[in-house]
Amino acid sequence: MIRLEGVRLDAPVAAGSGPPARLLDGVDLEIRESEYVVLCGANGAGKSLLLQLMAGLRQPTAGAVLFDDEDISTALVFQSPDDQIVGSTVERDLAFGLENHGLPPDEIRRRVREALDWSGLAPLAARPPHLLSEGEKQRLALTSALILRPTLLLLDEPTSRLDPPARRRFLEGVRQARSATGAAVVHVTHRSEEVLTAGRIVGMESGRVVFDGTPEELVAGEAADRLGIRWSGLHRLRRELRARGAAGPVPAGPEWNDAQALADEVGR
Amino acid sequence: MSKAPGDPAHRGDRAALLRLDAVRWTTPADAGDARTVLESVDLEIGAGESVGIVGRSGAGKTTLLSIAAGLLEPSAGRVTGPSGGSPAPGEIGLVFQEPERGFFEETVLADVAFGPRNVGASEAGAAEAAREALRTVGLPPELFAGRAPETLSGGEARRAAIAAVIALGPKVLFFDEPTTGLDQDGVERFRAVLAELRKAHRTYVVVSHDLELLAEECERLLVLDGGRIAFDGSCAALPDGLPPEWRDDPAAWGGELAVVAAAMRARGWIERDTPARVDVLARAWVIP
Repeated sequence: MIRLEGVRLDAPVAAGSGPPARLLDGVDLEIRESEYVVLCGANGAGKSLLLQLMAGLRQPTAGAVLFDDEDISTALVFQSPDDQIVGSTVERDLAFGLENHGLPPDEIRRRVREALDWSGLAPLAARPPHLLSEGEKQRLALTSALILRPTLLLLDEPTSRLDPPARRRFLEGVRQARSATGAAVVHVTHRSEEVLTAGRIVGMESGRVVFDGTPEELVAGEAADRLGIRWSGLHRLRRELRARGAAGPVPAGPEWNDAQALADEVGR
Repeated sequence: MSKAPGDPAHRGDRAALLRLDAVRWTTPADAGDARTVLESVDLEIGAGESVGIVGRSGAGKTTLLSIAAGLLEPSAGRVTGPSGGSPAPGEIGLVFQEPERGFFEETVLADVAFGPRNVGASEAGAAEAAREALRTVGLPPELFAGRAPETLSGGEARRAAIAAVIALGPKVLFFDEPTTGLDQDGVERFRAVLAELRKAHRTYVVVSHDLELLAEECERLLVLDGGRIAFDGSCAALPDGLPPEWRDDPAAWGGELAVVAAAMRARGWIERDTPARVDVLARAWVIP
């Protein structure tokens, strides 16, 4: 649905101060319909810039960002909800994007009412955003993105400030939205639990794509340690044990984070 | 067997640096629905302690730090700082969430030296304090002093912001969600900063959702729940003593490693007070 071809992005520089830094360097990448792609890479690898290019917030210095057809729409959820919440109440924030798109008032009211229901934000409809918890704010940011019915949802480290239960709820909200709308998702994250549950992982280093494959391929390969992934304690323990020959093969999926399974191995 | 570091009896031999007595905090009524964030918090932190605080969003962690640092007046109760009265400015260093957003000087050195200069240090004294602080956080001044803050990587900027607080020479350091948004390397380097602080017998308090980080880098853990301290003890005791809803769902609070450690403890593979550190557990794992 969206294709990046030879995308290059240079940092802006003042005249005469030497060659510009290359922020993105020859990125070729295709995101297909309904795909769930995790984008990872160390701080400064270019992940957020790539999302901003896909969202049309930036133009490449060279190369092209191509859409299959004109019906493709994108919506972006930032790391910090404070960067995108604009309404004076939850309800008004939900309506803001729709008003910008020029939808008729009746349609806006209907969609906001529906969104309040499925997002669970209904009890908070009249509340000013600054009185929401961090988890509630991020749920509002996600709902304000989904209410636009994007075909491509771009998530820029949306869970990094959330506590574990709120993180779970947020990802469940994304999962439900995907199964309802079939939207494709590109999700930037450092967390191994989130990386290893994706169907496809794209890894970046210094402005280039250096890995594109499945969790199994990532865990088996060499790139895993160059992508800045924050391996959970259980992952690190399993890897240590494998290195010492104590535990069997390391599973690449969510079972890698199953503490009970590992505790059971202690009992054996 | 030595006493667990979080045991109050063990803390008794350390001079108290900070004390909270029956601290309560209620949001101002004019902010809409007034609610009580902290019910009644009693807490004593001794010199040289490393303390982790974990709790759900909205549990009052940041409020607790702000009150303990003297930035926020409690609605009731008392805070006693290192010099016996209310905490004085600069006695307690608070590193805010995403502190690197606050850079404004042209060089890293000038930014880190701003604090000490602002509280009356001489130009030379402030620069020296800044250099020393940059060394503590692993940013050698030879390489970083003259850099523009916006050219630093995310992890470097975070550490420079920490240096700006250390340069003030506080008696206690508070870190509010210090690893948010950092990649693995950034987290490792932050851990090295904590190790450096421990080596220098500095006192620090880290608030984080990352229980693993706390279990590995702090000897004592506090769980804040419903405006009260629901757990105060050694990290090595986890998950024992936790509120039931935390104990029964370790994945919900990032306590998976503690579950494995508890199984190893029950089996006698590790001592009762062995912390749930990856390296320690891996070494203790018995190959049948």
